[in-house]
Amino acid sequence: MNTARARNCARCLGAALLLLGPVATAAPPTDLRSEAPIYGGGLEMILSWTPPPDDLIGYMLLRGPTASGPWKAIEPIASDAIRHKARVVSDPRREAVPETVFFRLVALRADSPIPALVPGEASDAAAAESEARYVDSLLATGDVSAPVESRTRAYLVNLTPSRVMLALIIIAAGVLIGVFTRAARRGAELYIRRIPGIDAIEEGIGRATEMGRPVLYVPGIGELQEMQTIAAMLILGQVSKKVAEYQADMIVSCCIPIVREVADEVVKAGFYQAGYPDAYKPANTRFISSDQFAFTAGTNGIVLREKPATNLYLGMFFAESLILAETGFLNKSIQIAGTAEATQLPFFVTACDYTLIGEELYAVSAYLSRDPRLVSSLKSSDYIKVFCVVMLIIGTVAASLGNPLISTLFRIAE
Amino acid sequence: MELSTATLLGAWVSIFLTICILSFLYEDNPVYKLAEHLFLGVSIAVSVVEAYYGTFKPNMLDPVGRAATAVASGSDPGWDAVSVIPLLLCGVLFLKLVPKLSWVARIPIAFLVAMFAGLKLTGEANANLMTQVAESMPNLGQLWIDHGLWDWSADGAGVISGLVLVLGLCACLLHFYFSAPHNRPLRVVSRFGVLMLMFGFGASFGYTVMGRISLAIGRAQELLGLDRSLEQNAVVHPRIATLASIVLLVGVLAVWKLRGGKPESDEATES
Repeated sequence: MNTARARNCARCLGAALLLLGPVATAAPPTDLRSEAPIYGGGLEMILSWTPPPDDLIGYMLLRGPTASGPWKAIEPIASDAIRHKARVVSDPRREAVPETVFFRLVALRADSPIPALVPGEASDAAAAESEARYVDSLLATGDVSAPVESRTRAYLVNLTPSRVMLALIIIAAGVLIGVFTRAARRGAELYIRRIPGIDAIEEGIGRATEMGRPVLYVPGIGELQEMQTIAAMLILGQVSKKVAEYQADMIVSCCIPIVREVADEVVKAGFYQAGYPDAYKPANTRFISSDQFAFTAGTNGIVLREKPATNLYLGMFFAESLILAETGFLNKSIQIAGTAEATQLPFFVTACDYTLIGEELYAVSAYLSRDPRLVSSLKSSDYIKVFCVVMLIIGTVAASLGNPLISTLFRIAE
Repeated sequence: MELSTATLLGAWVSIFLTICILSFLYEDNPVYKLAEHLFLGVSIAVSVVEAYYGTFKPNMLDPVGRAATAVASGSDPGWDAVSVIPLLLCGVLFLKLVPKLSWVARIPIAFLVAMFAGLKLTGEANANLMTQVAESMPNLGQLWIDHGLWDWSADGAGVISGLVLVLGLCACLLHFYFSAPHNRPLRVVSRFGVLMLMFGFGASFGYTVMGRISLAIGRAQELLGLDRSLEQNAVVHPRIATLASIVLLVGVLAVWKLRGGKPESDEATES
C-alpha cells in the first residue's frame, strides 16, 4: 500500500511538472553518458547529457535491466539539470544490485503523457500496470534518449584526500586514547583543569542535604545513544554516589523509557558503591512522558510540588530548557545545567547558577569519574583541538594567498 | 457553516485548557494540575499508539509476519528474516523484570549504544569537525576585493568578519582546552573565546525569544478567535468560550480558596 502511495506521489509530481510548462516541439536529450562515481559504493551512477535546444518542463528518468527494457519510470529531474546521480536499484535491501543497468531519459513537455492517478488503496499489480502504461506512452513520444549502459563499480575504500584526512584524524584520536589510557593505568597523573561547575554540583548536593529536600536530576530529552545522554548518565553515577554518601534524596526525571531503565541501574550502582544500598528508591527514578512538552510539564510539577533544593539539568535539551530553568528559578533551587546544544545554552546561562558549556559536559564526567578511558578521551580531544587551531590558522593564511589546499583537505565531497 | 461536534468540542476544550494552564500565573492550583495531568496522560497514550503503528508494526511485526509466511511456504524470507533480531532484543529487555536474569537486559542496551556509536562516528566527525573546519578558512584577500574591511550592504561581510570568524573560533576551541591550567597567555585567549560565545548566545537568545513571543501571540489569537474565519467564529464562538472558561475558572478557584486550599508545594514545605 505504501509503495503504491509513493508511486502515486511521484506521478503527481510528474503531472505537476507537466502542467506547468510551455508547449514545445519534440526532441530527445542526446549524448546520454553514464559513469560510476569514483570511490562510490556501487549503488549510484552519474548521468550527464546534452539537453534538447527547446524549453522543457523537466525530464523523466527510466531504468531497465537490458537495452530493450522493460523500463521503469524512476524519478523526475528538473529541466535545468545536465547531470544527475541515479540509483541503480530502488531498494538495495530488497533487490539484488545488478552489474549492468540501462538508463534512458525522456524530455517532458506540456504535451507529454500524464501518469494516471492510482488510488492509494489500489493493489500493487494495478499500480504496476498503470506505471507500465505510462512508460509505454512516454516511449511512444519520441522524446526519449538512446539507452546508455551503466556498469556499476563499488570501491572498498574511499581514497579522496578529505576522506583520508578524516580517517587519519579518527585513527590519531584512537591512538592517543590508547596511549593515554595505558599511561593512566600505569599510574601517570593526567592533568584536567577543574571547572567551576564541578564544585557547584557538590555544593548543591550539600545544600539539599541541609535543607532536607531532594536533588532533581534531568538527563535531557535525548535518546540513550546520544553522546550527551551518555555523558549525563556517567555524571549521574557520580552524583548518585555523592547523594548516597550525604544521605540525601534524589529524583531522576526521564523523557525516554530506555533512558529511565539505564538511569535506574546507574543510580542503584551509585548507592551500592557508596555503601547505602537500602537508601536507594526505585520510585524516585521516573519516566514522565516521551512527549517533549508533556515531559516538561511533568518535571515542572515535580519542581513545584516536591521542591528540590538543587536541580541538575545535564544532557540534551531543546525548547524545554528555559521552561525548566525558569520554574526552578521560581522555586529558588540552585541550578546547574550543562548541554552541548548551542541554541539552548543561552537560556541555561541566563536562568541557572552554573552552566557547563558544550564540551565541559563531557569533561565533567571524566573529571568526576577519573575513569582512565574517559580522561584519555578528553586528553585526546584536546590534542585534536590544538591540531584544528593550527590547521585553521595555516588554512586561512594559505587560502588568503590563493592556495585552498588545506580547506580542500577538510571538505568532504558528496 | 457546519462543523462537526468533535471539532466544536475540540475548540472549546483547547480554549479551556489554555486558560487552565494560564491560571498558573496566579499560583499552583487544582485546575492547573488537571490540565497538566491530562496533557501527560494523553501524550503517553498517543506516543504508545504512534510507537506501535509508526515503528513497531511496520518495522518489526509486519516483516516478521512476512518472513514467517515465507518460511512456512518454503520460500526465501530474504531481508525480512533480519527483523527477528530486534524482536529478540526487545523480548530480552523484559528480562529486567526477572531479578536473577536482569543483567541480560543490558545486552540490547549495549547493542543500541554500540551500534549508534559506530554508525555516527564518521557522520559526526564529518558534520561537526571536517565541514566546520573547512568552512572556517576564509580567503581574506578575496573578502578584501569583494567587500573591503566591512560591508554594511552585505550583512557586515569583509576582512573584519573573516578575522573574527577565524580568531573567535580558535579562541573558543582553546577555551575548551582542559589539559593545561588557564595561566596568563591562555587566560587572555580563553576570555576572548568566552566573549565570542556570549555574543553568540545573546544573538541566539534574542532570536528564540522572538519565536516564543510568536507562540504566545498564537495562543492569544486562538482565545480571541483571530485565527479562524468569521464563518467558523460564528459557530465556535471562541470569545464566549474564553469568557466562560475564565468565569468557570475563577469560580473553581474561589471555592477552592474558601475551602482553605493551598498549593501542594506550600503544604509540602509546611510538613
